[in-house]
Order: sequence, then C-alpha cells, then structure tokens
Amino acid sequence: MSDSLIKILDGNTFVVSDDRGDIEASLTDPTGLFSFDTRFLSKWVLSVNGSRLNPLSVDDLQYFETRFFLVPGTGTVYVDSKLSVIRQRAVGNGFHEELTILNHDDKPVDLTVRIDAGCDFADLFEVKDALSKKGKYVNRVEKGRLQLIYERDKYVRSTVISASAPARVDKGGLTFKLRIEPHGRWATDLDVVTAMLGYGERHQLPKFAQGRGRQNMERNLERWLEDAPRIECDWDPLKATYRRSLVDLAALRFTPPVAGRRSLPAAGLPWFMTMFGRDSILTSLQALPFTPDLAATTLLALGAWQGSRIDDFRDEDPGRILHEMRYGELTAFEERPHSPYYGCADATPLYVILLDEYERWTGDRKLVRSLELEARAALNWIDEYADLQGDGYIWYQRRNEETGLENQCWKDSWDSISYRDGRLPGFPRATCELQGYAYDAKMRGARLAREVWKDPAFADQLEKQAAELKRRFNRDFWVEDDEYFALALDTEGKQVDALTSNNGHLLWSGIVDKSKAKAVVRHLMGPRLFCGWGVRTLAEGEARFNPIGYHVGTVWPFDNSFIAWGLRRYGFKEEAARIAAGILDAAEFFDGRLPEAFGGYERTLTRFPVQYPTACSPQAWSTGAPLLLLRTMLGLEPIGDHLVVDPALPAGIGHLELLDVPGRWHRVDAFGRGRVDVNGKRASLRPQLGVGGNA
Amino acid sequence: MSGILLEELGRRGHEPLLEKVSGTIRFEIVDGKKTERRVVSIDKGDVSVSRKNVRADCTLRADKAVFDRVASGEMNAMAATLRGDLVIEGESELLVAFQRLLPGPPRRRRRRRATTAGRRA
Repeated sequence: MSDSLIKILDGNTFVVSDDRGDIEASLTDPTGLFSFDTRFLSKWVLSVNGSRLNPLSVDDLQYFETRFFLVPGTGTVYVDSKLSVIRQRAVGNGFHEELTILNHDDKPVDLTVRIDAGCDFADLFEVKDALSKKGKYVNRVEKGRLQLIYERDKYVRSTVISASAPARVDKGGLTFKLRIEPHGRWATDLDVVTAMLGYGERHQLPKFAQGRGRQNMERNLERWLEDAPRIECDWDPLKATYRRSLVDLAALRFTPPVAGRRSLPAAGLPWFMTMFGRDSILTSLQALPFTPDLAATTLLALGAWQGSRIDDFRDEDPGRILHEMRYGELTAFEERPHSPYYGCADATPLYVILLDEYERWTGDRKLVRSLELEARAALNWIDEYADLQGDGYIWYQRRNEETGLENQCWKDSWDSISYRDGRLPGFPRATCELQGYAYDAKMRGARLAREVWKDPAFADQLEKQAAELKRRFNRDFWVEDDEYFALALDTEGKQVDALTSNNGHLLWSGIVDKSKAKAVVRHLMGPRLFCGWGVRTLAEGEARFNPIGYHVGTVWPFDNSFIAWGLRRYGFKEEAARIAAGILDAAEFFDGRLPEAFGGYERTLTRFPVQYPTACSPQAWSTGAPLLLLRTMLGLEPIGDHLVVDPALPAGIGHLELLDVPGRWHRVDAFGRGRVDVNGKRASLRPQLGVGGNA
Repeated sequence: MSGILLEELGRRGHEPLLEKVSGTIRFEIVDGKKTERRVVSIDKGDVSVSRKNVRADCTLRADKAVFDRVASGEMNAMAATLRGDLVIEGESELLVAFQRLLPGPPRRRRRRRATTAGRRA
C-alpha cells in the first residue's frame, strides 16, 4: 500500500482513501471502506461545482478519525481560495463524515456539492487475487437514502448512505444545492452504514452518528493507555515507539462474535484484519507484561473455536486451533475454506504455551482451570493428529489441495522451506520450530497439570515425552558439519539443511541442548544471518537468499523479538540487547511503527531499513515486537509470586524505567541502565543510540 | 435437523465441550408453510430440548433441508450463516458452541499417512 494513502481503522472495519478523502478503487487495489472482509464502498468522490478538490493538509486525529483540509481547483498554481472544505471522518460500523464548507468571501456563493458513491462489494480475497463477481447489483433510493445492494442467492450485503442536510439522491450519489452567505458556513453529516443481512440482521448506525460514540472511544483509548505500564527513558525514540505500539494495538483490537464484548488483536492492515490463531497468540505473548487481557480473550475465543471433528476441506481435526477466520463472500459460498480454516501446525502447541505463560504472569487460575479440556485436547492433537509420519514429530500436509495452505508454519510462502541448494522438499514437512513448540507445550502443560489441574500422572507423562522429544530432536535436526539446526526434515528423514532464523525460536522453546547453544548463537549473530538491524529469515549464501524475499532474506521484527527472548533464555543477554538495539533503531525510521518485514540488506550498505514492498502495517505482531523487546532488555521474568528484573540494555538507551507492570504481584516497577556496548566489532549503529561507533 | 434429531441431542445430557456455555437457542424449522419450533437450553454443559415457546438468546431460522444437512455434517453452519441460508439473530457465540456437537462432513477419502514408517523412538 502506498504511503500517501490515508487509513483509519477500528477492529476489522477500516477506510483507506487518498489524501483528499476520496475513494476510487479498482478491483485490485485495497482502497475503500472494508468491514468483515468485504468492501462496502469502492467509490466516494467529492466535487464542488463539478471540480475535484485539492488537499492542503491531513490531520490524523486518532487511529479511528481523520480530518482533511481541502480547497477547490486542481490547477498547479495555488490561487488564494475563497472557500475551505473540511471533511472529518471517523470509522466504526461503517463511517461518519462531517462535511463543512466555509465561505471566506464578502459575497454570498452558490454551490453544487456532489458526492459520487458506488460499491463493488468485493471480498478481500478477490481484491488480493483479482477475481470477478458472481452476483448482481441493485442500487435503490428509498426515503431520501441511497442503498447500494449486492445479492447472490440469499447472500445480501448492503451499504446505506444518508445525509443530514437536504439532498437530491440518485442511484449514483447525492447532490446538494446551497448558498453560503458572506463569511458563513454550511455543513452536513454523512452516514455510511454497512449491513450483512441474514447475519444477525446487522444494520447498525455508525458508532459516531450521535457524537457520543466518539467520546466513548476516546475515553476507551485513554483508559487503555493509562492501564498499560508507563515508560521513562533517556532515549526519546523508544518512548515514541512504545506509545505508537500501544495505540496501534488498541486500533487492531476487534471483537469476534464469540468473545462477548472482549477484544483480541486482528493480525494486520489491510489483508489480515481478522482472527488468526498464530498471530493472535504470538501478539498476546508479546503484550502479556503490558496488557494481559488480550491473552485471556485470545485463549477464550480460540478455545471456543477449537476443532472438534475431522473436516478435510477446512483441514480441521479435533483439538486443533484455528488458523484464520473470514466472513466474506468466497468463504460464505465455500470457495475458500475460512469458516474457519484450521491449516496451521503451530497455533495448537502455541495455545498451551500462552495458557501457561498467562498463568505465570497473572495467577489467573480460574481461567486455566476452565480451559483444561481445551488444553488437553490441544496436547492430544500433537500426538494423535500432527504426527503424520508416526515418528514423534509434528508434520504438516494439507488435505484441502485446492485452497488449503501448503506451508502451515509461520513462514508460509511457497519457497520458504528449502535445502541449502534451493531445492524444495516434498510433503509432509516437519519444520524445526514446530518441534520446539511441541517440546515447550509439553513442559508447560506438565507444570499446569501438576500445579493447577492436580494430575501429577499426566504431568509425569508429558515430561517424559518432552525429554524423549528433546533427545531425538538434538540428534535428528543437528547439522553436524556446520553446527546449527536444520530448517526441517523431509519425508525420508533427511535434513532440509538451510540455515534460518528458526534457530532462534528453538532457543525460545528450550529444546536446544545446552552444549549446542553457543554454536547456534554464533550463527544467529554471525554475518550470514545478522545484518545489523536484526536476524534475517534465511542466511546469506543459501541458494534462495534474497534480501527482499518475503521469508527468504527479509528481517521480521516479530521473529527477532522471539529470538531475543530465546537468547535470554539461554543466558545470552548481550546478544539479546544487540537485537533489541537494531530493531528499535529501525523502528525510529518507521516513526515507531515497525512494518511486517523489511529488507535484509547489510546495515552498512543502506544505512536505513528498506521496507518490504507489500508489507502490512500496522501489523499486530510487529506492533508487539517493541513490547517483547522491552521485556527481554529488562529481563522481566515471573518467578513464583515475584517479578524478577535482570536488565541488559544497550548503552545508548541510558536510563529506562517501566512503571506499574501488572501481574500476580499487582503492580511493580522495573528499572535498568544501559551498559551493553551493542556495537562490538561491527560498529554500525547511529550516534542517536548514544553509542557512537564509526557509523 | 428435524425436531426428532434435536430431541436425540437433548438425550445426550451433559456435554463437556459446552461446560463454559449457558443460554437458549430457538430453532425455527421451516417446512413449506409450517414452522416447527424447538428450544435447546444449555446450562453449563447440560443440554435439554423442549417445544416451549420461550424467548431465546439466539434464534436460528432455516428450511428443514438446510437444518437436515447441517445436522448430518454435510453443511457447515458458519458458512451457511454467512451465505444467508441459515439466519441467526442474537448471540452468535451460541451457534459456535452448538456446532461443536455436530459431526464432521462425510469423508471423501480416508485420511492419508504419507508413509508407514514406524515410531523411531
């Protein structure tokens, strides 16, 4: 998405327009008003006396609200305008727009104001993949309102547009004829309301229609920010990044139909504004020390949707945690399996990991007890349904061969899993990090079984399985000649031997033998993987390496945040601080909003991080990355009823305080002082981080 | 799902999968000109079915043919809802809970194991 586009969002409803506030979407570009994976407005163009307007400025008031200042005329030379046009727009169950025109002249003015409106009702998947529509369009004018309707059998989606000022409404838009007195003003409210008929007969007013909604939403955001820990720090960009992360996380919250009024993070704008198992869990883990409620909702919602039967089209098994939920037309007609789709091999063990980590932070045993059945079903899935080869590892192979996902790990693009020489293995595949997650899920499941569910026999059994898995894993995945863990095993049990960032996730899971950790860290921080900003997804020198390849060379902030956590787990504090320094420094280049991924170019080559062309932003787990990095830098770890603080900060950060960290201890403060020289031999960070070097 | 099928469901009594769920779902089964009603009550996992005409937390309305296919697992309730074949009003989380009691779709082919390699451990 181009950066000049203006985006406002609230949960899974968002509006993307140009800098005049206009929307003129073609089928393939993600502009318009979207809600529940459907475009509800693809045309929304304002003109005055037949001419389009010129943008003077755009004010981002809140994540859900923007103001556009416009003047008439489209010439290249600016002539003092006698008119100002202001559009103030807020999103929430559709959108609400206040259109104001000011006459600065000492003569009255007669104007024709026109809004052209239209909609293609595209499914977001159709926008992404450029597919065409199968239903029919009906536009109606009824009671002074314009109704845009799309019908395919009983599937009906509609958008209703109305104005508070008198308007002539036709099937293509609204026209206002008006006169503004000298130094006078004219204004109208415009409401755009979306409806999914049949689905709860949703026909709600925009949240802001009566003005009170906006105040509620502002208060809600204030409360959200107040509830999170406060940061004090010598390095200002970190404060800005922290605030940006909290606000973006608030913006991405949405309430899926199973969560009552509670919300969990949607994955990312524009393609992934929905519930994802993996993304919701990892983001909740990153945010646990800051906003533990997200984790509780994620656990409840994903638990309510946990697989209960075998369904090949949806790749569903009993106990499996969903991959992705969608509400658009292609899902409705089962041309896509996302109702929901379960083809993901990591969300199920990660679910147990989140449940345990949540209890360790919050002490909320009630929730952990109430989810015992779900956690046991998830642990059972690992052994009963994921072990496709019968050898004790998690394997994946889609059963839905037309529209299912080939790669069911986080690196899910077609070429992400390769041998050093670039060949791609057959299916099923057992990627290494899945085994790490399985190990950690069994260890953490054992702790919960012993301490919360009071089932010591089950705990013993899980620990025995975990120890056995660890022993086999360190034998079967270890690349002897180069001393790192292979990316995967193929069906013949041979190593898919590319060197990847997945090694860092293995440290996080704890499956790595202590004797092997040093060699793994040498690779993670070595020149083939570490580019100066962070760890690349795939090492330079591997056949498929490409610094702007989606999963084959870019740097993913979320990936790095978990790698840093893994480094801490094995005692490599200074290395974790170096990763934190690189990623947080990159964040400043993106105004505190880390994208999904950026180029894996050597830092000294480009001097600034190069954004991956179609990266989603904001993206939930990138938003969560600075939060997890704060945790790893301060070395926050719940031990019993206490929060242990063991800081290892980059020198340039100076003094860092995180105040009122919530948890089972109620609220405590954490302090640290930057002492780690993160430049080492490869001096490359900027002086802004206070570490000078020779950059 | 005809009324008889629903009543069989009621005889299953306690459903561990629904222990966190309480609420009533009203089924309106449209069969030509007549509409059959059933109310399924869930009380922390205890499931019972009646014909009482009571207010429900969630109402599901569809043709009998649709309910029959949902009950047999041939039709996915969530997709049917998005499509408008099954109309839902009220708390959709009750439908999410309820559909966990339904069977999966008939298998087209057997689940495949890529090789028959034994457990190596």
